[in-house]
Amino acid sequence: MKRPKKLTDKKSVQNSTEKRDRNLDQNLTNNLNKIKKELGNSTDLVIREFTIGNNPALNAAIIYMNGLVDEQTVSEFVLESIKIETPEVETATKKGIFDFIKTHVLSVGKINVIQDWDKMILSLLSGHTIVVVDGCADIVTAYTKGGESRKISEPTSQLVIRGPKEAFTESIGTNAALIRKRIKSPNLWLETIQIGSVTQTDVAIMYIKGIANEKVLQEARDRLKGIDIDGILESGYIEQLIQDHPYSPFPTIYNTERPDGVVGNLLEGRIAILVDGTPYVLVIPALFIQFFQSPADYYQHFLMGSTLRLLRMLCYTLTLLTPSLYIALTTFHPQMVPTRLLISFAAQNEGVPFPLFIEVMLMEITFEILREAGLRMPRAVGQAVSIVGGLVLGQAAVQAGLVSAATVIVVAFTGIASFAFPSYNIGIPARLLRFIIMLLAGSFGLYGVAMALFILIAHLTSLRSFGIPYLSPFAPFIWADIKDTLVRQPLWSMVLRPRLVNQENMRQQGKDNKPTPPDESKNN
Amino acid sequence: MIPKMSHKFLLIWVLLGTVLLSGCWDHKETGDLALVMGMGIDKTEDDLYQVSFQIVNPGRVAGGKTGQGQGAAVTTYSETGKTILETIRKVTQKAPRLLTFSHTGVLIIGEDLAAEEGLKKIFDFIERYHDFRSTTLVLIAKGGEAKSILSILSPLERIPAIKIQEIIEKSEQAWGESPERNINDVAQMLSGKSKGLSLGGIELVGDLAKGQSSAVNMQATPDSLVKVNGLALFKDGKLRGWFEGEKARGVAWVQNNVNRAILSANCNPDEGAMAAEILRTHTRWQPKVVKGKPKITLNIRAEGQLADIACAIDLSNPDNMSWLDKRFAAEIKQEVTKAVEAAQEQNNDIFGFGEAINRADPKAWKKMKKNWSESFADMDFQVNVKVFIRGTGLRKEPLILKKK
Repeated sequence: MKRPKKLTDKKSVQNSTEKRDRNLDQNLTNNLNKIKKELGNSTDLVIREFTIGNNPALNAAIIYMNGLVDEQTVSEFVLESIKIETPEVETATKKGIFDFIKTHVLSVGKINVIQDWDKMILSLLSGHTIVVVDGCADIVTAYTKGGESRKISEPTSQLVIRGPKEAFTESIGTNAALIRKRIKSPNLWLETIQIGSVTQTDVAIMYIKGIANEKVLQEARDRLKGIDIDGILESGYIEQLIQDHPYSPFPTIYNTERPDGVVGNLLEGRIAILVDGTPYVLVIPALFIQFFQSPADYYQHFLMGSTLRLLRMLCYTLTLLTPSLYIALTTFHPQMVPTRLLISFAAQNEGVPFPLFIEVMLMEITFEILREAGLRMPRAVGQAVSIVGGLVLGQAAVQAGLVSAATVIVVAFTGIASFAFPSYNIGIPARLLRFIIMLLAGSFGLYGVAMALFILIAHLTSLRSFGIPYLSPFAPFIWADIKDTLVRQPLWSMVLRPRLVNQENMRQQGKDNKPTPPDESKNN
Repeated sequence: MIPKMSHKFLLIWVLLGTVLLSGCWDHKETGDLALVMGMGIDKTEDDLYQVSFQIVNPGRVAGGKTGQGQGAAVTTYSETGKTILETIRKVTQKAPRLLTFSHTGVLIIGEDLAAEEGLKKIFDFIERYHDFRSTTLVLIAKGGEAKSILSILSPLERIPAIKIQEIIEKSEQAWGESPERNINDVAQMLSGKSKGLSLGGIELVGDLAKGQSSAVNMQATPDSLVKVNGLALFKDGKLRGWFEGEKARGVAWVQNNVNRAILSANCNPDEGAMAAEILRTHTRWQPKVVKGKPKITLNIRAEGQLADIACAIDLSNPDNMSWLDKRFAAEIKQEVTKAVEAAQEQNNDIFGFGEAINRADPKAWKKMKKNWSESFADMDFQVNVKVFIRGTGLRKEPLILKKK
């Protein structure tokens, strides 16, 4: 794992700012002042001081961050309960009252007793409410996490016709719950660590004990622990910091916003990495073929699922190769184009001032510009851009004789085909590499295209995702796993889990799941 | 020397260099190509080759864009020279683009050139030159020049050379008289042992001058057109004569070149005609040498259905059906016999019987080899034809049959 050196420097700077007392003070006022000072008197810090019962000696305070907690929980289950006057309060010692609050008063589900200062600060910033009693070096934190967060909504980037419509949200707790809701097994284990020296982002590893590959699991833990960075803003950060081949354009970690997709992968023995603050969950290890599989393939008839998978692979090939084949065939190997088609190409190219390669390159770049502009522009001007882009650049350019109609068709076709993948990020290498292949096609013809494919396949074969060959089960060839790759066999015929990902607990269903007519002789 | 550059970057620079510096040596824009659709070779009086190239004007062919369909879709350039390559290069003085032969559909050879000089000299070049496709069809201009055939514009198909190609394909499939022979076939036969060869003929019908104008495309009945007709017979690469009609198709039967054909026959000498469409046919040769004399048996098997009958025969009677089979078989046998006999009269083994005898009995062939033409002329042949009429179309009884 390579990490930029700058970040390590930052951390060491931060560590050396102040030599702090690691534990809490017994004096309430000291503690409160220290917290205020440490947070720089931030205005969203709420400190409520009060006395417990009628005993003026029993000073206490609750502390929380405004907006991070659920205000209702704080007032009803923390503040209200503590202020209740009971006979015990009148006579209790300071230590006694602390235990009393801990065991009897706080009616919140999850509480912790903490002595450590840093832990206290982290709890406070994670949305816990902290109860400090004067004279105690212990504090109680109550889980009151809340505040505003987005509701569970439909997936926006991985759509299916049939299948659950829930997508992950930005909250790691909700996301974990979405998965656990679907796997009611005690073997679904969740390990959380904080990554990011400043952001302290929650990152969780989720897996099914007994199905997940322990070696991959350990490797994932090690790589996550090795991350030393100030902040994690999105799972993309984690992905880039733990992937096997940082220079390869091909993604070796799968990401999804669909809980059902994650569940399917967990059942195959893969491991999910949840990151707080993003609806995209990472799944490792990832195979090349996995990016062409949509959860919906399993929900519909296997013939349709298989056909769609083949179609997606075809689209991938077309995205990668159509413009380059067009350039190579028409300008280097006109003898390979059927006579009438060649005449048609030649007719369209008559009067076009650019060489074909330049022409295609221009249109491809135009298309990429349109695509990027379409993504970034404010919604209100969307109409205008699509009219200008589609009509003016496409039709007018052809009518003006600047580009040939065939080129526009090729570019448009390539563009459409590049949207046919269930995973957005597998389209990225095709988008980038097609320009390189076009360059080779424009210089060497089909020879260049063949060279590019050769290098591409060599590269893909060299990739690994957490130790699993990226092109498996094709290279190395594993016959047993072919059942769920280019085509999907009927559900009842996939008795075993994928062999390479999963090494133990292979069986995923019974052997005679195939629906058959009822045995009449038995009934009679 | 570039200082401190890592090997990886050096490699990338080298690779980039090869891509950018070598630069597209084989690169040709479609706009720079003159696609030669048809090529014709004649001999002028001063013993030079006159080569004609039918070049497509892409803008005039393709549909889609309106207003571009005016004018002729092709331009025919012709040039004379001592060798064919010389003429190809000389055309660059007239045509603004590079001649490309990879899409050439037909190669037409003038009758005079074929008869006097023969095919061997020109086929040496055609086989040697890299740009020709071996699938280009070869035809002989019957009774005229190749140049004039290539100058005729055609209705229905905007590119005349493609039209000729299509005619050959369609008529070979549906009529079976003119064979579809390409450069590869011709080259093989020229170097074959039998030394005979037959090629399709093409002729100009009507007035040459009128056919050269695109006005011909506006007429309902064109003043002039080209027509595939006859079978040119070659011996030792030189044109020796023509077969037409029945004899031409007889050759096709012998050579197993008939895909589909229409057989016509009279029910009785003075009664109505009937026709059958042959849908499937196969010819098998049985060559052998009997007492030093070559002999060949031709077994022809054809299946088809009755298409047309104008005589009163009760077709519900199985005996009558088998009579039909025999009647049509006799018709095929007659065509084949005529063709073989005519070839024997000319001492010209156009069928390649010599090859077959060689394969059947190489030792005997060695003796016959020198005087094969004579041996061929008086060789025995036997024709066995079996025709199976499998159906009678959509009706059974002839309309003129009156049932009692």
